[in-house]
Amino acid sequence: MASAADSEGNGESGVDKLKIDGRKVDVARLRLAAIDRAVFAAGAGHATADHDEMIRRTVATLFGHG
Amino acid sequence: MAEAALRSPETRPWSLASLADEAAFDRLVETTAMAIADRFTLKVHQNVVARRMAYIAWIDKLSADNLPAMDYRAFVTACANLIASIARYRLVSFSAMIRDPDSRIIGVVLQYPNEVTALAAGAALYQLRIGELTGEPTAAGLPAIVVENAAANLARHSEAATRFRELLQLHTPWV
Repeated sequence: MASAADSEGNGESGVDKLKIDGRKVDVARLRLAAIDRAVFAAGAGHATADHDEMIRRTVATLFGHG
Repeated sequence: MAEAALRSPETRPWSLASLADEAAFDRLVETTAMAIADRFTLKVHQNVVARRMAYIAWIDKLSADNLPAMDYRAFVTACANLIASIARYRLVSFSAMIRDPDSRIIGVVLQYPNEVTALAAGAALYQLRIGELTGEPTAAGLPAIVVENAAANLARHSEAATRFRELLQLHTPWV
């Protein structure tokens, strides 16, 4: 968690140098990895060639009929 | 050994765990915003400070959430948290270079840039992982009014992010 104590203000907002507490990032990473293992590990594992392309395709699909 | 590491959920690109890293979070937001901008011939403007705040909110939610079980609901919650975190801050705005006056969807994107980007980023993550699981697409084309309703709901109440599957009419493999 970023807090006032973590920030190294630059005289304006101070936001650009905020630090995220390492423990919170680690907890988040472990939780996400656990979800990945629990939900998707047993999946068929269909390969996705290009993840950036998948994002573009999702956007094109969702908003393509507007 | 190295191959196994590359295939492991933690190290694959856009794995859920990789999104705990700020660089991956930034790339997901940027790629989504650029995809929207390209789709509608818009120019995208990003606020890196707001993006950082959104990342902090995303990490905070993940570590604070009390997940009752590590099942598909935890995955849906993670996607919803991602959407709510991005929508909460003014990360992106778009300006129209060429605008088709008959296109209602462009009006929606210009009016709700953060909400549309947030919903698209969450849907992309959802689609990516479900697609890898089932091999089936989860998203279908949405009329502009449905996108507008989803974005407006999210703008009014961040809790609407929890209903992203209904709002975006995404298919689910889970009953």
